[in-house]
Amino acid sequence: MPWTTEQVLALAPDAASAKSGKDHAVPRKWKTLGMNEVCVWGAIQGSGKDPYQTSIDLTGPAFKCTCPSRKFPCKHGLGLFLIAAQQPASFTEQSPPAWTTDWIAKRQEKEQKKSAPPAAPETPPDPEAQKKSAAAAEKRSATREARVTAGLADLGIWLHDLVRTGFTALPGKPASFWETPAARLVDAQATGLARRVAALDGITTTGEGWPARLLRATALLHLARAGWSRLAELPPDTQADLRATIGFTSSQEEVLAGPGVQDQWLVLGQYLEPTERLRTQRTWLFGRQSQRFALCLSFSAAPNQPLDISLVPGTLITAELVFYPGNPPLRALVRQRHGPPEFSLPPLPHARVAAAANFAAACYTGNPWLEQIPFALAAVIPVQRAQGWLVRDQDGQLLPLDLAASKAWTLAALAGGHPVALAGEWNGETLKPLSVWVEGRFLRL
Amino acid sequence: MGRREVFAPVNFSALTQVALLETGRQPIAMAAGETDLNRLLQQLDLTRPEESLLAAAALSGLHEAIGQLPARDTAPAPEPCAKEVLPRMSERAGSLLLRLLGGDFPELLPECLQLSTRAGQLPFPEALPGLLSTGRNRAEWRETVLPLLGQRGRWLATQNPEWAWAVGATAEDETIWQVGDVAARLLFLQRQRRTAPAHARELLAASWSAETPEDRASFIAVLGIGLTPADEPLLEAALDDRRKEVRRHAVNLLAQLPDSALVRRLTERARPLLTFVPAEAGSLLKLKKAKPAAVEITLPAECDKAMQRDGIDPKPVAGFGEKIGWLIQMLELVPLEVWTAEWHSPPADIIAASLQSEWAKELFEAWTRAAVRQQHAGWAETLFTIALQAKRVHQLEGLLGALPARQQERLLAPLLAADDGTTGNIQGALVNACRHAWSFEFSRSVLAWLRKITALPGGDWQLRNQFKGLATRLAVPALAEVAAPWPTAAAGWEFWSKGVDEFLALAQFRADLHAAFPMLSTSTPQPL
Repeated sequence: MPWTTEQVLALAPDAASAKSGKDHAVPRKWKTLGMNEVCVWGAIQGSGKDPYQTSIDLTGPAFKCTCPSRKFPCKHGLGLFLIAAQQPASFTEQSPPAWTTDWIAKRQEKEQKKSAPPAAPETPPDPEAQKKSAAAAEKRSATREARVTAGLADLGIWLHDLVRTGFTALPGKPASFWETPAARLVDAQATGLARRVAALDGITTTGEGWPARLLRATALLHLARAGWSRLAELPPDTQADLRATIGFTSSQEEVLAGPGVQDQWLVLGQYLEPTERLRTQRTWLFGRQSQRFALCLSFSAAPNQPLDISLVPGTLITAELVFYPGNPPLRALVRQRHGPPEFSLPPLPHARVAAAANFAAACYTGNPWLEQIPFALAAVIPVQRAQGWLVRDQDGQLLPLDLAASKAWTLAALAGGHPVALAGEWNGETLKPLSVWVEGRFLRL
Repeated sequence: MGRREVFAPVNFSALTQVALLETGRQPIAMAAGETDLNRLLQQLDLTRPEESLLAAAALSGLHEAIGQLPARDTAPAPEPCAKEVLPRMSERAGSLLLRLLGGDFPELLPECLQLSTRAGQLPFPEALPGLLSTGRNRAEWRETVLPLLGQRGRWLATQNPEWAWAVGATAEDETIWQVGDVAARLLFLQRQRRTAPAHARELLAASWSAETPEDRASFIAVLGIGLTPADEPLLEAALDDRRKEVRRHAVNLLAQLPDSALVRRLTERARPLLTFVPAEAGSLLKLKKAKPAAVEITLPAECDKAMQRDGIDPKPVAGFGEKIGWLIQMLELVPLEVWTAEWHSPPADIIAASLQSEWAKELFEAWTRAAVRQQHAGWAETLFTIALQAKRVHQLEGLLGALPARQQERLLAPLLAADDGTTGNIQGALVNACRHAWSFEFSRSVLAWLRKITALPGGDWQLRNQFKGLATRLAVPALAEVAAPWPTAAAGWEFWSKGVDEFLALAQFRADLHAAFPMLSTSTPQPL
């Protein structure tokens, strides 16, 4: 079982759960421990009368525990998984109990249902009712589009004011200066642009070069507004990108019904956006045959709402992905998984920094609003220069890193001046490293 | 980042300048030239300045983002690190070490490092920054950290000024002593002192007058490693140092040299102040009562400059009078052998005679201090037995530390077995003061004692807080016996369980640690 401690701990919903999980990773605390190729199970005495029954489906991973904890996965699941990763010799049973097999069977049934085409309704639909509901939906969408149009007109006036007054007046403006237009965009149901307007506030304090950064960001808002005013003239994929940027969401059912891409996908890395209310988890994948990147998003609006843990960075999964429209199409959903994850590293596509830069150029050509572009560099050396930490390829070309000093030193220690494979997010200025492969090992940064 | 300037007719930074000021004050200059971008820019309606500024910025910004070329490194590629000679520790050991460095069970970090050193295994590279920072913050752990750095750790340390200490420790030439950072120099001196003690002293003597007072204080203590009479001149000179700490270190070290001038001077001062009056047998005929032997005292008249130079503090010792305090300080430093030779009596007789003196309490304190400082087991055991009867916990703790490890265990085991919860916290304090790596038998005695006292009513917070520390000293085979049984049904359990849980967690982690270095699990642990 080549799962590493780090990969298991990364599944913990918070630091407290990770700590409790480690405390439960002690074989003597468990009454039974069992494992085979597809699952792990164990029973542990908790505060309840009966021991808790904990199961892990390794094809996910997915967790199940009879304890009342609202954390997911709970400390028992994490503890059990840690023992499996660290002390596999502790597992004595080989054939899973009914409570594990029943749960796994139910999971598989659900999976099958998800990928099967929707069953035909038993009674033919009433054409009148259908027509009515279609009309209602059309009316709803027309209302929304009208709201967005009005909201973007407002945004245009605000943007004009901003440049007419000049950026010099901006540093030190109260938070309300930025929150008010952002809130108006929320009311106009343009949440994507609302987030971007709210983020402008931080740009004035980013140090040298902030006016250029602010102008780039405001110019992109302008471009969205201008694009919306003549949406119908744009190519369909660009329409989709713009709609997503503004904040329209496509229905998952619609996306899932589209054509899929079957491949072995390397889970390149994962980043959890540290925002207060809505947590956004970005997971980047790269297809071995298709040579395509994919982005799987998971959201959590409340602390108890778990994020998706089925895509573990550093693993290679066989799966069918379906892509949202876009140019290039990046955002995707996993339609169906096949078998448990593997632990090998296919060659990463960006052999040189120049290849990554070309990829970024191609992405921006299609979609100017892209905020993160996945880079998967096959061989770079971390170096420290006057301007900070960078990675350097064999041609001597550099990419600046967005990485805390302590993590940069860890990266430098791992590389030892030799090339490593590195994946991360490029924002147009800096690369935020998420994962590193070195000497056959995988580590998150 | 370089830019393909040739394609950028409207420079983005020029547009930024326009955006900084009120728009309309500055016109947007559109460069001429037949490029694709220019053809687009020329479509802008310049009569609407805000609109055209934003549109030009969008076009030009995007143009730049797409045309952006990665910068080229002007410095040469870094010198790669050489291959390690030693193998790496297991994944399991690596993850335990990372937990320790991350702040879990910090008291076990030295044990983990020693296990790894003894196994001849190196940590995973991701542990190196934590190890180097540990060495930076904890000077006393540097020697333990060093063997684990390997090629990679030393290579890394040369790149971060905060980790300079490790560079000094591994430097092969003496330039580090001339030019290094103080932490690096200290470690260099310590290592020199181990391998070439005389040379280390010469290095220190040569730079002595140029060192800052703080550095002198830390460097002089290094002479404690492999101290010999040859170090005396430097130490004697240090008695006149301006810095109190330097003088204190010099006194401490000179007192450890029985033939030093300092010891001779102190002995000559103390000798006339103490008189041993032998026992007198009683005589029925002369109606004379038998008199036991006694030690009589003359108080020193003053604490002059010469005494102060030899380390006697004129300020009173806490709890004692001024003049007797000077005598206590002197007796602490005078070798105890002086008295057994002078009076032709064994320690037990001298101690018994001291208890007959009118200064019995003060003499007992002086002998205790001397036995503890001079690590004199012959005196310490007798003093321990007397202090135990008097339940003087503070003196007992010190005296126990002056005894060899096995003797400590032999004295403590019956005390633990007899503990019925009525003797206050003496057993707890003594077990806690017993800081060596325990034998298997003694570890079992402590476990049995813990199970016994946790069945008694609770309430002693101090004792409960000490449980955790005890787990660090258990013999490794005894770690397998900690789990059960505990008096979980006893009335005091609710109180004790917190301490026992901490004890068990630490013991379990230690067991995991030793299991992660399997080649070593059968050998006896070294004292930490």
